[in-house]
Amino acid sequence: MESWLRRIVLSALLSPLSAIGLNAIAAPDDGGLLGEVVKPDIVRREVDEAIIDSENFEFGLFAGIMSFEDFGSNDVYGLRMAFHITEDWFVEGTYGLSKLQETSYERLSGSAPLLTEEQREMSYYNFNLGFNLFPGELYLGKRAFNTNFYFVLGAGNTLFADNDYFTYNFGGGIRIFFTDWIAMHWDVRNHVMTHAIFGNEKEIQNLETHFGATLFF
Amino acid sequence: MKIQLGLWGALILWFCCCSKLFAAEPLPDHWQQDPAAVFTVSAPYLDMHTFAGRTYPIYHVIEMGEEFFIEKRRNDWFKVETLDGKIGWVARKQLDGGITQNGDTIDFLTQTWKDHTENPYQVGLLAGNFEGAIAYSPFVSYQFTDNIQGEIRYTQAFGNNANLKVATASILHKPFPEWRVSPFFRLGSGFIQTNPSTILVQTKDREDPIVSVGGGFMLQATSRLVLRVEYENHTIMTTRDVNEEVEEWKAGFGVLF
Repeated sequence: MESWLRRIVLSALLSPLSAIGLNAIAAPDDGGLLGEVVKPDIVRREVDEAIIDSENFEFGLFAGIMSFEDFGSNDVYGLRMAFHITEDWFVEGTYGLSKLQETSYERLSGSAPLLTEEQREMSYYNFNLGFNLFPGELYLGKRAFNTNFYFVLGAGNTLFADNDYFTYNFGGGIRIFFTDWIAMHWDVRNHVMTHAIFGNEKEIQNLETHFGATLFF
Repeated sequence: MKIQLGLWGALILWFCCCSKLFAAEPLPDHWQQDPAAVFTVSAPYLDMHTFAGRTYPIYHVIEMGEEFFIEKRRNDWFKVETLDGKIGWVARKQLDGGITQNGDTIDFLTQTWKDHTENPYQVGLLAGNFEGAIAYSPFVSYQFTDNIQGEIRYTQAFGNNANLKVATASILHKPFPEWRVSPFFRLGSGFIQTNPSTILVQTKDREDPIVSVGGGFMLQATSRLVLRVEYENHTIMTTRDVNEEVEEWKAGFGVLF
């Protein structure tokens, strides 16, 4: 008894859906009478884009200085990889390494250091979305170099003192093209994170600036 | 007299043709090696920019009937070379339908948001709030059909008392994949690892199964970039008597490949 009732209910529910489906298939896809009259008879051949070499990936190295709040300004170096989605938008991943100094407290008090040498090894990675804001040219003597000024915003991880800290970062940079596939970067980034190494939660801002070189492939 | 004039005319014409023939230079070697990359302009002209971007200046135009060579591409810009050795960048928009090869008009398919909706892979990042804690999750997804998408993601959440790591596999269903702003629903399961902060009393890391249900919206921003916002409700199957429910809000982006 139940099964025939279910069948009726289901078929009643499905019938409007199937009607919509059939209509969608049967609907003509031209622009009516006019579409028939002015149909161009030029045959277009699609280009095989696989034969054209595309250069949308960017890979490179960078080195600079990162000021880590309470732990001094330190050398930082790392690598960067980017994919250029359009001429405006790109996505980027960076990985950086640095070594933290002693805090002023540790130096002045003469007490035992807060962190071991190993815990001072700092590394970070992040994923960013970037936007090329001011494409332009830069002149050096008689030569002109193509440039992009860009903004990035993203999130990632900072690893130090045996712990992971969520870090969001934002900043900007300039990309100067020496050729159309070799570029030099100068970047400024701010890494914002919260830690509780000194007891209370503290939000810190770690400013970083670096120079880098990248290749497009 | 008339015949003589006619003869002279024919002679001059013949000379003109010959000189035209001799003047036609052979194509450069690298053009000949790659004839598939040689095209002829059929539009009134093509703008050559100094670099790959609409704001870089136009410094030369390739006229109708001229041949040119496409060397490479960056996004929607093509690096081209003319017969007299000028090098510049032409936009896909201008090439589309504006050039021919062996008499055929070439379709350079101007890319819109619809062109990559069927790309199977999507890689991206979401960031947001995991029950009050800041969290982010990189993800990789694969599109099985227009409607069904599988997704693997790894979430890291940074709470006041603990850091959480969640790895889940889920199935997404998009009922209206043809909409530019497309809603989706998600069902997933995986594992959650809880690492209490070292400042508190040392407790052991816990690992529990997790099941989640959620939904959200995807926006096809450009041809390859997908922006999304989503909500998820997780149930953590703890070893204690009660299960825990956790809410997660996220926003982020994905790139289609």
